[in-house]
Amino acid sequence: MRARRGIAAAASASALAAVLAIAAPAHGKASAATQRDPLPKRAVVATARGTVAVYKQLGARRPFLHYQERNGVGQPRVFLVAERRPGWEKIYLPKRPDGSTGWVRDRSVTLTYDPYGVVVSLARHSVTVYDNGRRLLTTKAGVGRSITSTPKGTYFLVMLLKQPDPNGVYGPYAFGTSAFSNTLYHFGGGPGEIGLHGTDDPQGLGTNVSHGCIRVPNTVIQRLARLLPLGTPVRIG
Amino acid sequence: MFHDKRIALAVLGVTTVAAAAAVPAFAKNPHGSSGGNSSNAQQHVTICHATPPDTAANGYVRISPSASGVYHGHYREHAADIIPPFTYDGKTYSLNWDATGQAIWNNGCVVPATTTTATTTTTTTTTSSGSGSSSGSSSGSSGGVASATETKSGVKAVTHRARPARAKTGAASFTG
Repeated sequence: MRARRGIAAAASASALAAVLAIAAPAHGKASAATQRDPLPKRAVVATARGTVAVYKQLGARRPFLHYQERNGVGQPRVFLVAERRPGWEKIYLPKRPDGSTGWVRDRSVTLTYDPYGVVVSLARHSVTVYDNGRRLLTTKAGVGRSITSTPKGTYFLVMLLKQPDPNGVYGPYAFGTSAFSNTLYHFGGGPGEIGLHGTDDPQGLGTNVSHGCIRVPNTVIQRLARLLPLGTPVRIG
Repeated sequence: MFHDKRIALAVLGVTTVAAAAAVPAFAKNPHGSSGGNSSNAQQHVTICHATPPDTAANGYVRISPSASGVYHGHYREHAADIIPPFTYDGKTYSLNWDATGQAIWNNGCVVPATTTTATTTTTTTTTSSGSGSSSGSSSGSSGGVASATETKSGVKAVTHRARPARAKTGAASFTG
């Protein structure tokens, strides 16, 4: 109970800090500012309309990357928007190195807003989900061990897979994120992509237990699978 | 008789003015039909019906169904519709009634060329390499995220809410 209260208090404190960070004028060093940056109440999600050309710089002539309209499992290709300019959107890219960004033209994507945000605290072993800036839920989480740590940064959900065996290691559902492990470049046939999923080991929740993925209770991942759109921001810190 | 009529008209006028004052400015309908707040199921509410209903990719159509129709046919079914606050069955509902939605509603359900929201909140989107930065910022970075409520001049308006993901069945191969 105390632990829950502690998590709730910490979440409230961070939410308050987030509000204060919004209210505060944007000055100071960029690194300090970005570390305190809260997730917005409504993030902007870009969904591909056909093949999307990605440019390194705003207004660049030639793209350096293309993404297909659908992701590897046939779901819509989405990106989290980092910054907006007339005719252009700066997006986070689901690729290594973590935190990669690029620019896409407005006309190549459809824009929607997403009121949800997921904040992962590695120190507190918790996952908090916000809806329009308000805390929706906080739950215990299992995160990466020291040698296979979960990478910090700003990411987003890229896919949702219903697992053939709901009692398996990933639980009933697994979200793929745009984050990649910094230590595992291949894992289980995949490229070391960080997932947000359920678990068959509830005892491991609240500890450093995983190869980098974020594990939450199966009841929670079932709820999130019904709730969260692809593109939802995930802040790991 | 004539005197009674004048009194009745005066009372009606006062009532109309009082009712107009009670309705929030954003709920007033500039397009003539009865719209905005509705106190019972028989009254009509002017809404912007999205086409198609879940994305409004083809824009909006202005219609004025009954409050009951708005609640059952639009509020509960059409995620992208713009519905001003209205009362049905003792409760008040609205949908997508933010600054952008209000701008579209006030513009006759036509998306304005540029939309400026009343929100003055600014979210810092500073990145290590500044605007026009290239890809490949370092691992572990904690960058900004654009806010849909902050609409700069010239950027495309974001009016529609993202839908929950549809899961595909398949074995995951994440780091576990």
